[in-house]
Amino acid sequence: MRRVKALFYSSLSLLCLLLLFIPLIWILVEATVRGGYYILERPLEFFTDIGRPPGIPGGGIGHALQGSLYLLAMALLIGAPLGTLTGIYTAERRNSIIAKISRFVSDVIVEFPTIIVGIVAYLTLASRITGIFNTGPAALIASFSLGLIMVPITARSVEATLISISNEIREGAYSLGLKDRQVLFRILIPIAKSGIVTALLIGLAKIAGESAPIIVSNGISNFWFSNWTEPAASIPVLIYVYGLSPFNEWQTLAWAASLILLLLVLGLGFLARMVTKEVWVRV
Amino acid sequence: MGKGLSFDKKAIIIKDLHLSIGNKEIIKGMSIEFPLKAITAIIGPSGSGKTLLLKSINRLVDLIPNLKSFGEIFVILDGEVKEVHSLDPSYLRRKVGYVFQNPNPFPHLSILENVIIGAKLNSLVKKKDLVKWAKEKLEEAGLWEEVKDRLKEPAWKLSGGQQQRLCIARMLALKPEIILLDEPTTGLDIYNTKRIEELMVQLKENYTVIAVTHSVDQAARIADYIAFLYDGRLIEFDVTSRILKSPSKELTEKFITGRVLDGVRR
Ligand SMILES: Nc1ncnc2c1ncn2[C@@H]1O[C@H](COP(=O)(O)OP(=O)(O)OP(=O)(O)O)[C@@H](O)[C@H]1O
Ligand SMILES: [Mg+2]
Repeated sequence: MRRVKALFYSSLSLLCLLLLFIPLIWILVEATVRGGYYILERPLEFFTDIGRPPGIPGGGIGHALQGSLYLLAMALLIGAPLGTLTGIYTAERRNSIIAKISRFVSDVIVEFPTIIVGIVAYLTLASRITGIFNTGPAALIASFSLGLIMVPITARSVEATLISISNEIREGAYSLGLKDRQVLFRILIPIAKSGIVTALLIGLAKIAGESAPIIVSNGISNFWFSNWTEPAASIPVLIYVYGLSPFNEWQTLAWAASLILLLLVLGLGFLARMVTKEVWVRV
Repeated sequence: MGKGLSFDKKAIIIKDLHLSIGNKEIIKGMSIEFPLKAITAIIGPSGSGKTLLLKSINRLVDLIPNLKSFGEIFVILDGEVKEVHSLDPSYLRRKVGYVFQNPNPFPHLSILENVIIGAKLNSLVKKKDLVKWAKEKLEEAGLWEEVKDRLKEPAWKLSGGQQQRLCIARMLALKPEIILLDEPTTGLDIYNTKRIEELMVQLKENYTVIAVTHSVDQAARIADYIAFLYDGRLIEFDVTSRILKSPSKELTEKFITGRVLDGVRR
């Protein structure tokens, strides 16, 4: 009887799990059927070529892959130090006014429509009328927006990691006569290392799929990356533009690109899990 | 500083210490003199302020937010009388070693690195002598034989009792003069408890030892003096045999005979 019951509950929870995964699997299948086949058909062209004019079959998303790589790398360069330092500050000066304000602002901004960050960045920095640099739509501004967008979520996860280190470890470090700086850099940050890496991966996963802030600050490009002050192509924007187009070839590319983006974000999430697991085993 | 105090055979003199966290008063005026190179046990019910008294001496209480404290704590370090609040906390904490209730080795460091990190970051020992120094301190803490072949392993792989002795070695590596231990045998088995008790007795040859303990029996086994705290006050301080056989206060007697075990009543 007990075994029947156990079997019943385990199949029930398996069913729930499946239900949970259905949307994910559905998107994966859909993207594979509608676009994935194209990657297999012409892998080289898909990864290394740019899109063709409408009506001409073939082409690839090489420019978008390259552009995304540039945009995300620069965003990480801007967002990672800001997010990490903010997280460290709010964790180690937990009760200071600045920490409280920054925590509040983070929590509000996390829920902010990301397009607004892009618009504000564009208007204050890049716009030819109101911007400080007046470059017009530019890749650098998109990276800057993406960098800012990843700050709150990164900061909050870095903070959570540091706070999870027991107070006795912290006190232990101080009891050895270590100075604030030594406690932070020799003890706390090394212990939290994998947690901080995870926080950065989570931040990266958040911005990897953003299209709106890129469109409003960088515009749309169908070419290879040329310059930080020019628009750059990117995968999310390519999906948006090609996906909404009436052309069959473009739609196929959009589906194939979705598949790549999906796998990328899933991969980041998976990587984050792996790194976190290591922490749990150790502490 | 410390004028008019007699430091004859004393290591620490606390004068009228008050301490509160938020608006809760926890230590309510406490004066104690701790004898030099002896073991003083601090006993008292849970919440009576034993840990905070200990942490006041090396100023670990400075880390607690919303904490206010006044009163004076004089210590003899490097042959001079010093008031702890006038000292660089880093110097003070090095000279006044602390062992925590739960072993807290650094999880990202190896056994060896745990022992030398304090000495290394405070530049107390020449780099080339660090390993030799670590060996000496592990021997002093009675851990060397058990770990000599696994010094590179992460410290968290050790058993609780071994971790606690590692923390003692780590603290000894700083060349302290006074050693504070907060219930260092909590949660350990009889074997490890016995080892650490023997270790404490050895330590008093060279150091002044103050140990908080939850066990009157343990105090009876190791301590030369006993301080009994209750509700933030020092109720009685005397040599161990006096406290155990003929305490002068009724409260002390009730506590050591096990009739006040259930914490502070308000
Ligand atoms: N960091 C803190 N923040 C707020 N209150 C605290 C803090 N540390 C201790 N207290 C309070 O101060 C009082 C005394 O604490 P303390 O840790 O010194 O007691 P103790 O005698 O060591 O007790 P135990 O035997 O349980 O360890 C307790 O009421 C406790 O709740
Ligand atoms: Mg305590």
